[in-house]
Amino acid sequence: MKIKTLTFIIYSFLLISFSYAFDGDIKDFTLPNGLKVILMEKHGAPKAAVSLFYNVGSHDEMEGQKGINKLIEYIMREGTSKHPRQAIEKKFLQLQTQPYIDFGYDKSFFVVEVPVEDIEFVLDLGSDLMQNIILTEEILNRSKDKHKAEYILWHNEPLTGPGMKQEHDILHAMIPEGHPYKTQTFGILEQFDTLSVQTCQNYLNTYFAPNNAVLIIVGDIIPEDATELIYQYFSPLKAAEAIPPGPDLSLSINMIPDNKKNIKHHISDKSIPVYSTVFTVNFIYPPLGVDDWFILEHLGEIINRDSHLPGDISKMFTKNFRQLTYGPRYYLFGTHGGGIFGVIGVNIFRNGSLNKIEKNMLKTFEFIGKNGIDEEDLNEYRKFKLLESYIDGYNYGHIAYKLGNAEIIYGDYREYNREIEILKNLSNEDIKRVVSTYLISDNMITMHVTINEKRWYTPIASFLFNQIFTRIQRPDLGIF
Amino acid sequence: MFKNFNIIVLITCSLFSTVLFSGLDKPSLQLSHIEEYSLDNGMRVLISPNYDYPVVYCHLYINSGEIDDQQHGGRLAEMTYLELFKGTEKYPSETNILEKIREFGDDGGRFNLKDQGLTYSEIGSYFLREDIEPALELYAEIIQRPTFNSSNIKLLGKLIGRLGLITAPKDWLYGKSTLLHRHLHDLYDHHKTKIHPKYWLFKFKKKDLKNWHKANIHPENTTLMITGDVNYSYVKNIINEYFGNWSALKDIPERPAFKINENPGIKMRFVNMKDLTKAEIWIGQPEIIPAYNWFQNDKYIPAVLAKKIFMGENFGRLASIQDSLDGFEKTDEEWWSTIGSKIKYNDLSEYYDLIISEFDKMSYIRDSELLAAKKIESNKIINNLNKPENFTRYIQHRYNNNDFNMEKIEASFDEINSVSLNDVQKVASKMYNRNNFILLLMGNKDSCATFLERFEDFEYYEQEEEVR
Repeated sequence: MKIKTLTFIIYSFLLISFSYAFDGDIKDFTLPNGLKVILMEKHGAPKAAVSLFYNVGSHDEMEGQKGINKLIEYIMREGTSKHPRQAIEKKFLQLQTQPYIDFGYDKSFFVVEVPVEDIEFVLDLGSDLMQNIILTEEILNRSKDKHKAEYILWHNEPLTGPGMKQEHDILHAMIPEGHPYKTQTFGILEQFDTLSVQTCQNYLNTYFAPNNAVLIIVGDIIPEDATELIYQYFSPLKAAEAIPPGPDLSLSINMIPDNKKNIKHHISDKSIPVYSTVFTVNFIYPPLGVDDWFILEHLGEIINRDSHLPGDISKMFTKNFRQLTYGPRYYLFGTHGGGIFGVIGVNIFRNGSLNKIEKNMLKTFEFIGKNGIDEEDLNEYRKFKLLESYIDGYNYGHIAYKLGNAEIIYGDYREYNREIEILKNLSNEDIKRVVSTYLISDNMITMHVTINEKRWYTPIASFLFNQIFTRIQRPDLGIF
Repeated sequence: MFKNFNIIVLITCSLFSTVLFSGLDKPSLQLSHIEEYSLDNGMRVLISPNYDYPVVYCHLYINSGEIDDQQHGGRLAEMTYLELFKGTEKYPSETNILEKIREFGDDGGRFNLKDQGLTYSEIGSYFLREDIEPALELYAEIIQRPTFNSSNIKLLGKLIGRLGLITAPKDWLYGKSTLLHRHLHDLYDHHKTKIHPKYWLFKFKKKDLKNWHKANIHPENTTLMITGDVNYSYVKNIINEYFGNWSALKDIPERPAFKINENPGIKMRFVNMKDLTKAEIWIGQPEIIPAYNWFQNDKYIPAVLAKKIFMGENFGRLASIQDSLDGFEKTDEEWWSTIGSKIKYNDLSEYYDLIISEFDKMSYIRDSELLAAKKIESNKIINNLNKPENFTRYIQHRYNNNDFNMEKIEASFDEINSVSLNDVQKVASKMYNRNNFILLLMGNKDSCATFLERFEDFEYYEQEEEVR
């Protein structure tokens, strides 16, 4: 009784912010050990999403330890003595749920949706994983084996594989040497395979602490009850003493040497049975979270929608499919410090003229920079994105993710719906401005990738395919 | 004085008892208010408010499906349904319809549901609140005024179909999945024909499609449900405007009964595939519910729970053995479930005995297994119902299949937890019966010879092309 009263006193003292967001009422507070807590009430179903975000990612890894952050994910999956892996899996299965876990470039987190009466289990588990992992050689080796197996699978993945490994390779080829994003999140096998128990335990103790984390609960909760549980499970945890500052993550075209601005790449891939060429034009763009980043992301999605039709933008990019068989598709390599906005096109059986294709792709951006895009396309896209955002709102885990991501990456969880707020007022003037600022030749890296070897029949097949087949029916290649 | 005191006591007691017992009869699933009414032509309408976001989910449920096309094994029903989306009087081509859908913000299927099952057909989609009128206008066009003019039913379409059949890869026509389904469909008389490639070439005329549409898609067997951010009077007006003039059919034909061969015995097929380095074996169980109003059947929930206990994902009894099996696959369909594996020829008997022994063990189910299965099943339902799409389909299927009212739908959820161990046990023993299943074995006949000696009676196919 005394503890309960005390908790409520502390609770009322700790609450520092109440606000109303589009998705539901939000409260936030910080525990004395530094853990930031965000609670959102949503009462559409008797469930809640619980998420723990850590402000650490592969960009924090030191040279010689590349892959340690991902390895920690496998270590965490092994559980603790109180919550061993099998017991966790069994419990989540019983709850008909699966946690979504991702240890990426800029953040490491899990999010899970459970019946509301089971949030105590997740809070207990989350606090236990935060500070009670005692690493042994056995656990470390088991985790390394799993990490290695995934690493090898990833590296042998064909071009059409689910993880887009080759696409990541292509993108990473453009990142300057020594930049924290140069190494992919899987790391370097030779480095993570030799990490010691002590090194991993130190990494865990340094970064996976309450003062480097955000706890989010979204759902059918009573905030006072949830706070009591949070206090019970998280307040005894100790803050980390010295969390190192993050590295400089900025990325700009000036960091790319001239000889790396026009990259040629060759891939042999049996999953694609023909000779193909992939053309990409890429532009460095601003860090995640600034308004221009959101506008560019919206433009990218408009380009993708257009390519399905195909619409006017697509026809311009491909010169009515005379230069490219397939495309354009937009992709994004977005990180905390900046990223790459790329547009990709594919030719099957032929090279085409690289210069002409690049020139035409740039010319299309010049056109959009001057004239914007069709207002009708913009309105349809706006409706599409709003629908998507509203429908995702019924998924509490999705909102918890957005809140955690906004807190870690944008620095303020209240910005979690910024993308949609910008969309509501997005105009052609905004589009013209960002295109003219970022999607220009001075900010461009081009890449030409050839897949497989030419064969004796390539010219004949090229003629039949490109001059006859694609004029009747555009192929859906199912790649990129 | 005493009289007043008694009244006070009485009132206090009654208040107390109201508070005390008010929760007792409440179902665990409490539906928000759903407005329910019918138009003059017999079309039923359900309107359910949900103001979380400014969107609506519009859903048409039609009480007709493949089962209502006995003559062509469901092929005509399927073609008619697909052709609904290929042109209407106002939107003459499929492109026109897609353009209209795109105006609502859809990107070609992301927010859409189009499905025809054995006993029903459905169309559902999300729209922004502001688009509800044009969306219902499009729905009304699609369902009431299809033109059936698309090229698929023209001569060119037929020729391409024939050419496709001739040039289709053998694996596609005679792959293990197709062979398995043909075998399974032997248990279900109503549409086994649809599975065989030769039935893909039924020659339908526009008139056939029109007639099937007229007889099977009409206001009396259709329910429109709208869930989301609705203004009742506004929505009712536009529903009346677009669906009120739809002519009733009046002489509604009786629907065919859905029959399942509940006791097929062991129906085994062997297909000689001499090049297979391992045997591929599939064992399947028919469901035991002999009517298509399955929610009403008292075996439905016990059967769902029994299946969960036997083959639930990462949880059921099979989960403990499946990791050790090569190419282990299981299917869990509406009317049957199967388990399949690739087995070394020498290990065939051992595998078969293992599965059969697991069938036998299903005559004993532990309390803890049933409790876990109940929790999994009820969590699965209740935690997804906040999404309008899931909520709408949950209501529509129960409302239409069984003529349930809303109270009964609420109560039916609680049946999951009230099912007894005995009920599940009984159903499980019938479902997982060592004398009652289908078996499909594919492999080299010489290598399978020893195993085949165990069976007195089975259908033998020298090559897959012979399989009917």
